[in-house]
Amino acid sequence: MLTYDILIVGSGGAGLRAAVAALKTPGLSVAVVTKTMPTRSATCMAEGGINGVLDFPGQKDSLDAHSFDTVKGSDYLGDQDAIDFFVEKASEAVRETDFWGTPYSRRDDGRVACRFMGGHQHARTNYSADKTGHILLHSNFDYALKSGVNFLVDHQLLGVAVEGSGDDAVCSGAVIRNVRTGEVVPVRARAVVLATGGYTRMFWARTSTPYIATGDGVGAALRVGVAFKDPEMVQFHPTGVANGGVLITEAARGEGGYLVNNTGQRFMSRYAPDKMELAPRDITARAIETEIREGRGYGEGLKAHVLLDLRHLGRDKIIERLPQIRHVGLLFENLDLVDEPIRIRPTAHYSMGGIDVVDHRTMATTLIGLFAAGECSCVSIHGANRLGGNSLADAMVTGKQAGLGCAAYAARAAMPGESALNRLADEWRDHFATATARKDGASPTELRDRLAEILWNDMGIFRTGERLAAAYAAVGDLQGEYATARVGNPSPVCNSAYTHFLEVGNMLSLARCSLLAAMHRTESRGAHTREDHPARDDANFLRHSLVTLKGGEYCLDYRPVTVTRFKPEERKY
Amino acid sequence: MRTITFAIDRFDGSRSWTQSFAFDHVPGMTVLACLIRIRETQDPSLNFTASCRSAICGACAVRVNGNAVLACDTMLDDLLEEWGQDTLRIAPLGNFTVISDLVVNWDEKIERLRLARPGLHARAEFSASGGCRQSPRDFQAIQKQWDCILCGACASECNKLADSRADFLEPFTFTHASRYARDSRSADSMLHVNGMLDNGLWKCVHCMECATKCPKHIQPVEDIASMRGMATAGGRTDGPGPRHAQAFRTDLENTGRLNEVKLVPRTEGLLSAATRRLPFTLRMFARGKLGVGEAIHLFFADNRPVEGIDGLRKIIRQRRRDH
Repeated sequence: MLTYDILIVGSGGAGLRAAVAALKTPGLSVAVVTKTMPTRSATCMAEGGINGVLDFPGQKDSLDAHSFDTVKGSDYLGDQDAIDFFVEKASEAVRETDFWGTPYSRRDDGRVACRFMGGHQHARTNYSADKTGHILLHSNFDYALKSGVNFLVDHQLLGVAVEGSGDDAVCSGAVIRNVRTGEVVPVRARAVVLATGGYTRMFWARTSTPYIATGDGVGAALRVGVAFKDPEMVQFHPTGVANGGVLITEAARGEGGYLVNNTGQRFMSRYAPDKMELAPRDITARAIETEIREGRGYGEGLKAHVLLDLRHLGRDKIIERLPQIRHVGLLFENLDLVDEPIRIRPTAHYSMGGIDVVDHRTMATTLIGLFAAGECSCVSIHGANRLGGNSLADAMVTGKQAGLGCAAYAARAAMPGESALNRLADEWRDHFATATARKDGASPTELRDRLAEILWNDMGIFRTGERLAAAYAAVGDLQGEYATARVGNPSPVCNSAYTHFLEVGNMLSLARCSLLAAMHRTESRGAHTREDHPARDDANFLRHSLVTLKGGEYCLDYRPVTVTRFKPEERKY
Repeated sequence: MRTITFAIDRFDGSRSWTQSFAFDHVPGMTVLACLIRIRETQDPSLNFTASCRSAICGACAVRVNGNAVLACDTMLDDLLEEWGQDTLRIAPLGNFTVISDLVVNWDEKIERLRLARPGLHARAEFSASGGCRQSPRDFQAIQKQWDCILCGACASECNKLADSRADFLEPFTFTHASRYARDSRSADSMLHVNGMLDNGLWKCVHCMECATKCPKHIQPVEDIASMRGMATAGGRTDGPGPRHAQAFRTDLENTGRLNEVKLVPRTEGLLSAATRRLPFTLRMFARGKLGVGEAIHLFFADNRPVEGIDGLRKIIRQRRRDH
């Protein structure tokens, strides 16, 4: 059987960083499984920068300030011990990647350049023009090549295997599918790191994330009893292109862009008079939706929007600092931001929730031998709302910690048995045969689109208990249809229809979890806005939602948030 | 209603065929949006790759009428206008092994990318705990090369690769080597250049396809040229490539005109020129391409210097001082 000491699933920033960190322990064999060529992940789409307070004399910023901003940004749902650890490591990550070759934009004195992002007291978002994610992903990929990382390209994760039961249960590897040949491959490993990215593609029609961000790892963890933490916490980025949801980065606002309604007013003055356009994402997204709901937007229904105006920045600044944004404007709206404002509306952007990580130093989950990193994981650092620039920092920090954590574990762990892997592989072989044999049934892409519409309408920026309950039932019905849906292609060779079929299955399941947790969180906190419960309720909900799958049923439980230095207070900007 | 047809090269692992898909024209669609529509409304078995749809992940490069483009970054309407027809031929990237339909195999390319020795080997004054220092100007000097999204478009149309993949690399690999070789933070530029020297640095045929096809407007051909300069400056002047370039410069400086009779012996050495190239030379004499007297004159003497040779020499000397 194909065997490694460490198997990493996912090749975005977190997965690559984990692989390199794991290889620092001599003698361990490490492989990275990825369903695409390694550099196609969501990391490359991050534009604004990577947060990290760089230590130099005379500055006002501090690790404490970054910590506080992150806690406050999370609307106090972030775990403060984990956040303190995170900001310290984030600072190290910027210097470390600089040393590996990440080309950061520079100040005149040669230091890494940084900019302001929403929700931060200081400029601490280090950047490389407006392509920081792309640059970080590629420099991590280069560093992985340099370190000798092996890749299993075009392999889709099917499931995680568990050997033994009860207290003896350990992760024994994963079953993957070679997409090129259709072969179902059990891979034995002492440790598995899931770094598969977020699940925001469940909002298929209105999301900024790549087509591949379908929550495969979260789904696999859920199926082996690991909890999905805070699944209701999905960040809506305020500035998606009206046509399809591709992102206009926050850097556009950071550099001084205006948000304008149909009366020509900079409406953020009503919602965050001090911060204006630099208010955090959740507040800005709600402001835009409120303008639209109250008739001060342009257009109707799903086509409604407001405007983002960059013209006053001038041609040179736009070309120098925001070239990627300008390109997106040309591509999706066929206009030049130098000359015209662009139509924007919030878009599903980031998964704060994810696989329940119980140790922020090792990124271990509750299943021994299973680790998680990056957007698929939930520590929780971001709580109910992530600050701009903290996602790349998260990928670098949690990736590295997972790599170190799994290597330390793998160095002393026994090689697990093969029986569970063989059983799981047989189940998946049967699944392919059965699913692809069906000639009729619902189309998975139709189910996916219906899911996206339900979620946008009922689990979007404004939520109510009634609509969430109806959506929970409706998505349950979609799952019923999915059970007999057709794939449309019986060939084992490069069957991308089957790949997507499985992705849709994961998204339906994860949507159920999100709806369940959202329905029962009867308060408003961060990205989760309940119109029927507009206030934050610290007495009852200063705790993480934990959804598990038991015998086909979705079960909800809670765990208290770790509060250390910063006592919850009203979140105002 | 105007109908658009995509004639797509299909391959299922054993069988190849061309399949036409017709659909209604909607203004403002990208090529990728068209492919997705075909897969979701006509044939779920059509295979292609796509991820970010905003021209930054590099997953969706395909060939349209024989030219590599990034599908998400290319407007259908622009192609229709450019080609003046409503049928477009869609094929997988060239110079790649095809897995199925428009999906190509990146394994070999990733392994070859390792030859560029990617990853920075930073200078001794820098550290992992302190990071590096770099001037804005030095950052800008490598910024363009870092725009590479590994989409493969440059490799698809590379004429040298089409001739043989055995003694040349994908143009993006040269760009990767160049971005580390030219980084002011690098301890040893030649680490990256040497790997390229051993893998075809002097074999680029300057067809410019890589520069023309790059959706990010990178010019791998220029990266190749700059690394040739670095190799020569670093003393790696052995081999026919550097000698060929040197022969050009010698002629330019001496007379301003290319002495083609001396070019071959200068590039390959007198022995190779006299033996391997003899039949070719004789054929040139026979066809009247080259006069015997003229050849003897050019071999023992040279061309007359062109008018304004002094100015030309001045430029060459200045360039030499600049490096």
